[in-house]
Amino acid sequence: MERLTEERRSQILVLRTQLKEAMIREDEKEICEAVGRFRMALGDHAGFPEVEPRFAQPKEDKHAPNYDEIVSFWKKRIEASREIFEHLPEFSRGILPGAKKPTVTLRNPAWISMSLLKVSQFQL
Amino acid sequence: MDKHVPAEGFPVPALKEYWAQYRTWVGVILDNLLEVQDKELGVFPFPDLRGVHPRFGPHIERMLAQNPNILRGNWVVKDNSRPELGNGDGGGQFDNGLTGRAVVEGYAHLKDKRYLESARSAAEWAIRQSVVPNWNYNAFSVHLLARLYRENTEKRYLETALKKLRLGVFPGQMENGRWVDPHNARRSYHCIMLNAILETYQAMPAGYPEKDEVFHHLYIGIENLVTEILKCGVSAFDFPLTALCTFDELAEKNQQVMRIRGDIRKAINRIANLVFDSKFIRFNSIPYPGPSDLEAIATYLKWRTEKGE
Repeated sequence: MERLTEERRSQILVLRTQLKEAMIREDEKEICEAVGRFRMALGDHAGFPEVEPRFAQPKEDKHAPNYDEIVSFWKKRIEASREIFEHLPEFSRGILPGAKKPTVTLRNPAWISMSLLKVSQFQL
Repeated sequence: MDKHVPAEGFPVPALKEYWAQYRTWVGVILDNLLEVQDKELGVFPFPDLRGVHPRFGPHIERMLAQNPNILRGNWVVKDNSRPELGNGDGGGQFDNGLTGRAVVEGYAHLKDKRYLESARSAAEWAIRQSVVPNWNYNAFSVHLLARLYRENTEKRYLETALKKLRLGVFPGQMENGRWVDPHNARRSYHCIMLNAILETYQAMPAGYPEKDEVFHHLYIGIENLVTEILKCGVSAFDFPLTALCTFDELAEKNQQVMRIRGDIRKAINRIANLVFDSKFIRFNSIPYPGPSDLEAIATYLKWRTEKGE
């Protein structure tokens, strides 16, 4: 697909600003109209990723992975983050081992916490 | 209410020897997250990554040039309802929504009221933010509010989640299920939206007036994802794997899901085979195990355990 021209990009930026203003006014009809104009300006690009997707395609449908191997994979992933778990209080405040100030976003400890909750029995 | 996921979760017996350790770790994580939550605004803030991160650093520099008030110590805090902290791009909803959801999950499992209060503060911040053109940012707030509603049935959590969907997620979705702008058309973002819609659908009581409309948006998004995976291949695995496993669980209660369940499971299997062959995992090249893929692996493991396979 051809890249968007500079002129089209500028037009899209203006339309995006209009959409933002409609959103601040919380006007659903106006929002939908602004999206319609935005979509028109995008043309064939509407609904297509900005970066060409890198598809990985198995050549044939295989059986689902073996359950024990998934458990083993999980354990290896946790083991690979051993350093993080040894410095968990700091990491949970965004600080990597050896760093003096936060350099990690809080989404990371949040994800780890939710993952551990998903596989555990907590109400013993 | 459809309490789809019981508070006790679906534990993985094969990991039983680690449960106590995991419980300790979760407590440490959540207690420290509460430490950095902004006490005044309730928001989980974003670190000042100037000079550290190649993308976020320059972005923060630009934001600070416009408004230096948003820097508090080592953290950036924004609040679109406060003029002196406002006019942000809405990106704060990502970390606040996700971290807020982690403390809700912590409350659901550990019943520590501090986590519930923390989640409510994060939710109040999310409620105050207007929707923005980057649909996935709004979706993070939707996800938090809907998840919190399932633990604390204060009506306005669900009502605000639905309002944010109507104004800040649904309008961007085209008839074929994809989101219109090239950024949110990427599969990871597509599935961030689907996971938020899924959470809202699960939070809505049976017979709730907008339940069918919410399901429609969910269904066309999932169908588009599955079709692409089966025809073209897998282009992202973390959020898609979580969305498909969770959607598949709806089949027991929904005939429409049941009809495409074969394809959903085929798509899950395609992703899973790539992940567990370790051919795909390096797409996420961060120096510690990618936490979003950790959640996807946990979701898949839980899903497989429930199925008894």
